[in-house]
Amino acid sequence: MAANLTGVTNAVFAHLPPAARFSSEDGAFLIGHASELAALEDQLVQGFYDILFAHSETARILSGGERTEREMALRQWWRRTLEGPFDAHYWEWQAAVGLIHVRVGVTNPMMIGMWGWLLNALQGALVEKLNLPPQEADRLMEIFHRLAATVQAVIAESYLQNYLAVLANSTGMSPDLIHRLVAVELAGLDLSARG
Amino acid sequence: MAVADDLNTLLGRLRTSVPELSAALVATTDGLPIAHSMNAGDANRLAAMAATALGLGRRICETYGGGEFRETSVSGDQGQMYIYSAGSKAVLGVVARLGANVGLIHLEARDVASEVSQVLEH
Repeated sequence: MAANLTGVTNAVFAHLPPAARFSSEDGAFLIGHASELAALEDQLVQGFYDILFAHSETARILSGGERTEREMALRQWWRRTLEGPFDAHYWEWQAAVGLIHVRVGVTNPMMIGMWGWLLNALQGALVEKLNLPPQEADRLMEIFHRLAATVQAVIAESYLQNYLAVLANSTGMSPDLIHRLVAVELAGLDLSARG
Repeated sequence: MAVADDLNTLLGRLRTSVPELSAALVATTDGLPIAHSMNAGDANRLAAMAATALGLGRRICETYGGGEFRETSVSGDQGQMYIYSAGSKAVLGVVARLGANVGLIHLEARDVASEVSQVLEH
């Protein structure tokens, strides 16, 4: 029923321009700073979930269970990201997050918005809390931005492909037919007045 | 070219047998029109709709244990469309005005759907 997560991941990497995506060199640099970055875990997790619990739309999704249980999702991701490796298993895990988001009701605006918050929080913390030299902090932020772009692309594409796969399975329409329906409908749409 | 000719011949024969039809088409299960004979309308859109009805009909049959999907219909207050499975690769759709002889439509269209299947499977 679900989309092929390996296929989704491979397609995303094929579409992402190499200069914009997370690289093995990025991974090595990040892991090289793992011991310092690990110290940011509590601060990031607390800020992240404070925001989610303060917004009714996201708080509703997190309503089941204790906050400490909910926080484990980000803690596990942060620890695994600092440990590496950034292999197929890591990226397919991110693709699986897209499927989970469909199931639990986490939308892409929620996901992308929180990525923005995380990047801002990291930017402040690298200098203020870790006291990293500016050049190193700048390089780490570039890497985090490429990581963010890659993970967001994988999760968002997985969200879409899984949504379509479930729709295709439940209605009996093949993905090719769904693509054709979209093409036929959009062919008749006048886009000239939409900027 | 031979396949398209064969399908157009079948659709022509169907429309001759049932003059009340205003459209007849054969589409792939992915919604591409491969032969059509229509008084008016958009073959691309009708083919995509016929394939959608086929897919949904097949899934409904599976869900209630109805066996292999054969046909379905959609009726409005101005006309009706009948959709027939035409083998594993295609669907036959016919449109008729309200009051058309449904028995005759089914009699002829089921035969044509079977022949379309044979043309495409070989």
